[in-house]
Amino acid sequence: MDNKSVYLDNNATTALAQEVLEAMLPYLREQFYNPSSSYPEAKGPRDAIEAARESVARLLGAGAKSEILFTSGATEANNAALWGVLRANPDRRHIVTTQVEHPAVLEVTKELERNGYRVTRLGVDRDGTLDKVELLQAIEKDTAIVSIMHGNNETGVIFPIAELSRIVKAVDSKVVFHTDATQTVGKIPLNLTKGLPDVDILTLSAHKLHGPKGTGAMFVRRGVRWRPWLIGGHQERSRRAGTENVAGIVGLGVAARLAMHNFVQETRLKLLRDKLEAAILEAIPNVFVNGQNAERLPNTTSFAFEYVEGESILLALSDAGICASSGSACTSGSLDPSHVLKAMHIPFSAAHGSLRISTSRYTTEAEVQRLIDVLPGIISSLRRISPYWDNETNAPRADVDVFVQEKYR
Amino acid sequence: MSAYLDNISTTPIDPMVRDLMFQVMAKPHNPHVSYHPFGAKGAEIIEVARGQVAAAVGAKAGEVFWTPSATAANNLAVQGIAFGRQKKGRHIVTTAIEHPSVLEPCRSLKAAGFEVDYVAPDRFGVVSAESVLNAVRDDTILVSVMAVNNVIGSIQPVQEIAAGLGKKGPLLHCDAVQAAGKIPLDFLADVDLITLSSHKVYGPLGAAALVVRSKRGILPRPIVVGGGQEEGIWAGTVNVPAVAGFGLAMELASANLEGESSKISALASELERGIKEALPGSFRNGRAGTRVDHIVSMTVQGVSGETLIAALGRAGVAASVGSACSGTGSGPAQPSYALLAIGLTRQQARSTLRFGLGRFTTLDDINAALHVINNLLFISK
Repeated sequence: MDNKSVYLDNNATTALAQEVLEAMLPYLREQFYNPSSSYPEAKGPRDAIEAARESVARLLGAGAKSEILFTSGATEANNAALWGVLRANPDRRHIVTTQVEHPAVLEVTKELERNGYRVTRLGVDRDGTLDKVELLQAIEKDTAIVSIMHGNNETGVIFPIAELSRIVKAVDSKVVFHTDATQTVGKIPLNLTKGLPDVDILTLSAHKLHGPKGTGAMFVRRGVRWRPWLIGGHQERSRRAGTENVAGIVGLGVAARLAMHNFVQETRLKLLRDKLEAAILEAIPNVFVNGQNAERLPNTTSFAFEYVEGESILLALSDAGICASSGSACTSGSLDPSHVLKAMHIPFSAAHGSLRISTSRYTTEAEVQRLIDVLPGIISSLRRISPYWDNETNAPRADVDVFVQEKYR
Repeated sequence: MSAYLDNISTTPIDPMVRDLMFQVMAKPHNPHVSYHPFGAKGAEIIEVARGQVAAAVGAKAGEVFWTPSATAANNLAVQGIAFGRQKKGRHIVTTAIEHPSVLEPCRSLKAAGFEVDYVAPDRFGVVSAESVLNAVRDDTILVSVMAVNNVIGSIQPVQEIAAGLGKKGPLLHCDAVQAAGKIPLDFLADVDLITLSSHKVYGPLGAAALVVRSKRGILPRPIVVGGGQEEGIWAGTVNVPAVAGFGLAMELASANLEGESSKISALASELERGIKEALPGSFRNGRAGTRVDHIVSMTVQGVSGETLIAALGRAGVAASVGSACSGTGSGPAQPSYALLAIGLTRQQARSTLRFGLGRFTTLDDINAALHVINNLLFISK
């Protein structure tokens, strides 16, 4: 793990920005006070939290900073969003979501089913996009909440949440629209007042935008019926109990400000992504980009290499000093192909060879070039030992379809 | 700030802990990524910390689950055990002087059909083991009793309660946030669930733990689910630098305990003596023998608590009326329910100051506080 490592796993976590780290330091040293204390010194941390709230509100284009509350991360925020809406609307027992959500939403909906709620999970097509008519039809009389992520963590596919939330509100204005925007906040501009007026709750994480781990935030639009999840303290105006992680919140505030200044990087990252994809598709046979035809995040590419194991690619890349991921950090370790690729009907033989590359504003062209240089060699050597691959023709075996017995369960 | 005497609300980070955190913060560790070195290193860091926290309470590393705060851990212990064991019964026993992060979840369970008994303390802020055990019924699934009260400093008979409950029946949860690093923790040996907080033991904010002993084989039902981190008990990317800091902080707290306690005990006596001398009729809450040294709760006479705390604040002496968790920094302080529960009048409760002594407290700090009090009297006379 030397300084020469190429870090291309920014959808899992990002390095702290230097400015963020420096801004956090005083709150780990002399400004350690509990923000709830009454003596004058505690005003420092208290004001710092409010300044961070203002920065996050601005990044999101929220109407008022009181609509922002801080949590320990996006996972907690997602749990709080879903449970909080259901608790506040006890007569409504139905939830609409998608099959490709992050586990922090997916697992909550499973838990809700165990508690007697009904859940409709919308599927996606081969490009990873949703069918709007299906969404329209999914809303029932007692639907409490529609939870649809903004940017997918594995494929980078962006859902048109402005339009989707408008559809939901048109059917029933009382349905709460939640979006997990963990992967989009800070990467693409968004505005909850002008662009996304029908989004009621938005959740985000600091450590995906060069902020610290242990901090996330929730936008809850004024007037939305919602009840707090962690209780037993007046913090965050009694909407989230627990002593505030001051340094973490300050870090998120600075990360938000930096992100606003760096939206200009979007074009550069997109060009870098396109260059990478073109080079790999050109140099390597039997590979495609998941969700290539959909609108996608500028920093994310999900490759599917047929007839190789994603895990083997990662190990080889790691030996070459390159950090990447097979799908999401939260599901790696499991041998099943990701639920996202499964929902997209990516063939088993290709989904197994998935590789996610996620860049950040600190990624250089030279780093991406290093990946372009080593990847073809890695894939071809792995295929040489693959039972599905014919080395004579440098193509899959003619009888590969018969040979590949594995299917999705 | 010239004297920080509010180590109950939060503690400054120990410089050694801070140094470790800064090293960890320099790299993008996501401990849940298995296939590259940053991920593997992150996992290693949090496992080292898990071992350190486990050692402090005589638990196995696998029994320690990270949560983002003690409030989260208390919410998890109460709600997670209640919902996980509701088939066995819907009755909970706790005390009237628990932290709000235990009391609020208990109150919220009422709506879900649970019954909760809140055992009252005696006038020294101690609930008797007998009254807790008497409140236990056949359908009791959880008993939650804090180790040390955060307002009074009174020590609860947790070990006796554990012995009385035995190995079957309700689980015992103990919020040990104010005990860790302050008194030896062997009394937690037979407690099933333990809440610990980093920022009360000279570690950073943003890390805490729920220790769940495995011998009963019962885990709380998670209240935050997702990526399956912490074996599904608390999901979300672990705050690696904070957890690393917490681990070291717990280790240091255990190592420093003996030396620190004698120093703090001497300073606490001096503070108590000085206030009683300056303000005759003032008394310290709790009773020697069943109270920790580092929490000095003084009900003062002859001057209002508010006046005194304001004067201390102006002079740069940090102390509190009640606890940080019971009021916002800006709003008027409500009399502490814990002080009312031990029989103080509302007026007395409002005139009760809480001083929290700690690792970095010096005699100069105590003298600074006493100086302000003496000066105030001089001016008002």
